[in-house]
Amino acid sequence: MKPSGNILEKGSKTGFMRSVTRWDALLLGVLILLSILSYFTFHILKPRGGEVWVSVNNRTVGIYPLNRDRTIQVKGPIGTTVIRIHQGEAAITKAPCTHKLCQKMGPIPAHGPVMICIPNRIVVEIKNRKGRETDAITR
Amino acid sequence: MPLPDDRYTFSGIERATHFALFAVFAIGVHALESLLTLPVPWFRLGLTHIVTMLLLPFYGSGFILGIFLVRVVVGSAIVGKLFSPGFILAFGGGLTATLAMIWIFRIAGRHLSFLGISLVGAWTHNLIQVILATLIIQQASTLLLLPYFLGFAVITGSINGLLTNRILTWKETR
Repeated sequence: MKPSGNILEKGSKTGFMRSVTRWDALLLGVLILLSILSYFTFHILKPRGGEVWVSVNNRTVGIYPLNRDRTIQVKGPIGTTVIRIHQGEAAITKAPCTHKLCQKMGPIPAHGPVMICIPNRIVVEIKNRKGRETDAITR
Repeated sequence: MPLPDDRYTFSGIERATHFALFAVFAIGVHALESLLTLPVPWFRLGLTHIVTMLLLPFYGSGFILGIFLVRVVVGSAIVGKLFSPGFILAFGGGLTATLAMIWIFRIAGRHLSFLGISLVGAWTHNLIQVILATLIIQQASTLLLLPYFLGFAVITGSINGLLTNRILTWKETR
């Protein structure tokens, strides 16, 4: 193997920029471009949420995919609660109770928060297939 | 700086001594680098690849790969990460990056400075690392990290490449 000429031979520039060629600059440009392009490409892989689990009195009454918009009416002990799935988020839009805490909880987008309507005994939860938030932990 | 000419080869005990010295140097850099606290886990500057690049013009691919293997195994053992998931990533990424740098130096060493060689190495390292992580975690969404890792690779690769350019011209410019 022949040691490279360019890297070790003399050039006019000194220091850090010494011996940097236009091919280096070209490579740098191409790699920056590819990095930016990959940012847009890999967004296709973004996980599309999970499933909305609705339970009344501790019994699961329905599982709905989060990526299809729909309105669900669930009958509880004191009335009908309306759950709306819209743009990958679930929200309770109508509740028969007095405080409407579940309504105020607002739309929940992903695995984690749970909307609970205690008077009507309704729990709305989003679960992903594996039912956990982290895939792996390392250091 | 007196440089070896094209036909200069190291052999026998001289070669063994050089190997031992550079292996210790690389292990030291590896251990010191893992002491650096960085905001993102797995994110490293890749300073050990500077050692690899410094060897490129002077030694053959077997020598450089040997230094890499000794460095990554002994270095990880010292840091206490031998055979951890992180080690698998470092090993896979480092091995492919070393091979890529040897290869690009061989085919394009006349046209590229260490900036270009370092960029190729850093990019390969991070690309393979994310692919390996995806295989280990078994979830395609890990690939979402790829753009960020590739972006980091451009930054750290440039820094390392410019540093290596500087190091190999140290004496002359002083």
